Amino acid sequence: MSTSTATGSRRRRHGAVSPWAPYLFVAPFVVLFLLFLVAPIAVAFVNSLFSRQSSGLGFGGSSIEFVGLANFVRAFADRDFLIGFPRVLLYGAVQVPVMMAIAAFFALLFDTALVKGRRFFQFTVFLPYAVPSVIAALLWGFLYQPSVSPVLQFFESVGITLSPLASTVVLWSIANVALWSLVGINMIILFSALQSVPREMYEAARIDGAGEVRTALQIKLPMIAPAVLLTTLSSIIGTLQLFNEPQVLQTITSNIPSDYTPNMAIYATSTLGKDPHLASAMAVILGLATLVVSLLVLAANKRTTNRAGHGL
Amino acid sequence: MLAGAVAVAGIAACSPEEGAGPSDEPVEIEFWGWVPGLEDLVAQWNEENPDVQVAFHRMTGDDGQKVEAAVDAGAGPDLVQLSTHNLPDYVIAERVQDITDYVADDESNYTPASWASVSFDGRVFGVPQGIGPAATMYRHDIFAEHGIEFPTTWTEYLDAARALQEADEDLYIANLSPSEMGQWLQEIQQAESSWYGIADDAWTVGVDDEGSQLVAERWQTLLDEGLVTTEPMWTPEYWSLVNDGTIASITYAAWFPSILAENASGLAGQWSIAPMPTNDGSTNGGDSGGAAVVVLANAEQPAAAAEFASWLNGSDDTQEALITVGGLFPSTQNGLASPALLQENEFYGGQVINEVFIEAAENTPATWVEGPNYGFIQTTILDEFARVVNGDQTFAEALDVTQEAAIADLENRGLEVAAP
Amino acid sequence: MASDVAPPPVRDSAPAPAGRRTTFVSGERVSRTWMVIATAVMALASIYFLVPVVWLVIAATKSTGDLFSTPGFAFADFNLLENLQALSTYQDGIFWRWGLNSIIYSVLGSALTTLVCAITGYALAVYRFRGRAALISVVLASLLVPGTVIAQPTYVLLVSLGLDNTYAGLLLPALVYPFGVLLCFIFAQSSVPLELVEAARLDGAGELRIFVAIGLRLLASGLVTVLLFAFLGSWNSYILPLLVLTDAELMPLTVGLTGWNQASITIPGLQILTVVGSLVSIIPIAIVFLSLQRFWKAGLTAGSVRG
Repeated sequence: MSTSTATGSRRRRHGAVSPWAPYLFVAPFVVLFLLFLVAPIAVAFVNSLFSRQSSGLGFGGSSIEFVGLANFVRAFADRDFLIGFPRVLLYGAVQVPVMMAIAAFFALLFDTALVKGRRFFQFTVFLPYAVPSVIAALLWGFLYQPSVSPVLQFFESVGITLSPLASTVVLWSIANVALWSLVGINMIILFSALQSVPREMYEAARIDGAGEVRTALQIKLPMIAPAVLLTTLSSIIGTLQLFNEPQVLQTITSNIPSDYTPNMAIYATSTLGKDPHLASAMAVILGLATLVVSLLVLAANKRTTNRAGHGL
Repeated sequence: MLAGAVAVAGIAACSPEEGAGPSDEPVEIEFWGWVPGLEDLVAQWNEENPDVQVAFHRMTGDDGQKVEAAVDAGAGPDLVQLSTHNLPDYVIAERVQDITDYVADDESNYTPASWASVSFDGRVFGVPQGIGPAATMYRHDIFAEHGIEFPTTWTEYLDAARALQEADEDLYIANLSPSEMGQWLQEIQQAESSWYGIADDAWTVGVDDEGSQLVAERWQTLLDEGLVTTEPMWTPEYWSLVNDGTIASITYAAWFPSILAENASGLAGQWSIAPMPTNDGSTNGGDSGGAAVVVLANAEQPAAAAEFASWLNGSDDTQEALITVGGLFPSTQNGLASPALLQENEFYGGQVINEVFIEAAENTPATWVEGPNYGFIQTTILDEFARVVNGDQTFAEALDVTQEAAIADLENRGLEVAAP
Repeated sequence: MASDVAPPPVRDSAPAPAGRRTTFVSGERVSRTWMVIATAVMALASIYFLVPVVWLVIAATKSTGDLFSTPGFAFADFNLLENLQALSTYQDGIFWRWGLNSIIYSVLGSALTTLVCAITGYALAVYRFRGRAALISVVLASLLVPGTVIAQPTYVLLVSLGLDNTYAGLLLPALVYPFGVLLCFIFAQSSVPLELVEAARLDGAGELRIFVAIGLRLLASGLVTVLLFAFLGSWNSYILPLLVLTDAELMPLTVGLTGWNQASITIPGLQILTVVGSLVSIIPIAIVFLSLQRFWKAGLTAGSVRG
């Protein structure tokens, strides 16, 4: 069908676009999107309005009944589930800026000629991302346990006692695992965005006498604003959906309860608690909360810079 | 009953279709389990039973949740190994089939407690596969070094714990893992506690009953006086506590000694096994729970599946392999009578360790009742225990919180709940 | 240091990267002191990034008994070959089967995903059509959906399509990659000049041809990023394959290794296999990265066309 579009164009007015072309282009994605994303979401939403109900001892079997918003009421009454939200927000408020700052710093540094052995360093920064997050958490788990961790033992030997799994710091130990894993990939996105910016832009600044630092902050960073925004946004979304790292670290410390983050609470409710309907309601709440936070970020971004928002 | 009827109809519908040769198309059964050595037993069955061929899948940690998703989606295996604690939930959600008609004759070969753990409402929903009677593995060298007799009662246990601490401040009698459900269960069962009970046509919840409070008090003492370490079990950190002699004893189920032997191989000959200490005025033992093989809702050939499960867990041919390779403590009479059970164990200095576990099994009170929201209670109580270990609350408070949450959860499921 | 991989049509307009670097370095503002400082900072940072990996490498050479009883950063008896052999023979070498599966899922999946993302992102950037704005916002919103929400319904859907426990069941859902679509959209916006598309149209080229000849080419550096992401996404995915696949022969490395790690509670020998297996599983990604690394340089040509 696309070939017919191609041959047909010759007969059309110069430069005219077949009205169907864009639709054919997006069709594969839209179909898959509807099937594997929209449909499951719809199912999850519908599930959240139902509940498995039995009577008596329950051995007479059970039925799935419509319960309206009862699951949402239960979710909002679950204090431990709700506490997970401010916890991941706090986590995100610290982890995302730190990670993005480091990633941007590396990307800008790599974009200059200041670093010797650039390819090697790029590789080391990126390498952690090659470690599946489940395995990454496992690795750091070893490094967090005093009696088996060479790192903690080293610090101990110089008089510094660290206990990364203590209840007050465990959140930041989780953040460290995520930071370690994800700086590299964010660096790569920003770096590749920097690489696609025309060099002439910098040359002008250079002629004006701007230094590397000023060029980086005032010219380069604004040029890659859409990429920065996108990576920041997806990082924020990632932190709200924090799951793998705390889930794995949970097996080595009792300071991470089963409902430590909203996503963990959802998982615990649907699998261990065996109430997938309540879990669906919690998931819908998490989805909406994520939406609100993302919109706030986008709005804040629009206010501070009217340039960056145009990409989205 | 309905499931059984459908199944019978299924078979009836099948055989005329097949005509003269019902055996030319072998029945295929998919079985998921985790016990070591099941591959060999399945191969043995397949060789002896050409008309019922079993395909085995070894389960790992996250597969447990997968089973439910699979059954609910209309897929999944025919047979699965399951903790009996989770069975009522499966029965209520109609994820398992009633196999009373196929396995009723097996009852006499099973211990009454294990048979009770798969029977609900007068129907049988699984074939028991092993139980978990508890005993205490202890470092006899450490106790001897400090001139301390290994305690026989919990009162003596507390004194021994204090004496060990006094002798060496880096020496603890045990590790109290806030995340290990079984160690709590075996002690509350010993104290004749049960999370669930049935009163007429309603559930009662006993998370904070008298027996549990007795254990809570003991654990609180151990914690408050600093007599135990509190690492989560199974971690490298935990095994290093074991291996460097920081903890002097571990109380756990009959399947644990072989795991200890593998993870502390350097300490061979330094461990012995004694009965779990008893409560004053009682000879009760405890048990952390067993497993069963159940026929799932989507199984099209429940008779054949049940037949295999019955052979696997109860046949004279399989007992030795289940005990020696699988590391199971049998729930069957022929298993308990198997000579394989009474072998000397080198790691434990040549002790016939199962003698201790057999005695524990005999002394375990039949007070525990399996109930419908086990997974929920387990998650809740472990989270609360973690808070106890952090000093945010006491075990008694953790029990109260869990009790209340458990009742609310049952009621949310539409189940009837009565006051205990 | 830099090999020239700029796409042919725009090659002449882009000076060789190496030449550009030289100008940069010889520029008066790049002082030697700063270069030393920057390199030192990177060296320090790389210690942080490498420490866990180094631990993994050393641990992989140890025996089960030495794994936790010897210092983490010191070699004990060198057991790597024995460990690799154990890894290759355990359950008839199923580890390599998992590796092969991971490669199949990731290579096939990421190639198809990138194509879908590219054509969608390109269309959103180049055309103005009814529903475009809506589609962009829906794709953006879909980033917000927690993965745990849709895992279960997706599985039920696959069962009803008869795709559970098949390669297709794992590949098809992975093709939906909204983040990749957005990336392509952004890349296309900044690197596909509408004038060029217009000019090609005036020359009588069809839309598909313009996409292939101009769009794909100009998007190349961006697509490499998306390809890498999609590859890594498939390589790292855990929940979906866990749910969809039951046959151990079909599983990817993540599910297999995590299973081993969980089973190591009762089978202690699996702990070291998990460690060695994790190390081996990183190698293909390292190779992919190293082979894609040079492509990022090509990105600057896209900008040159526009300028």
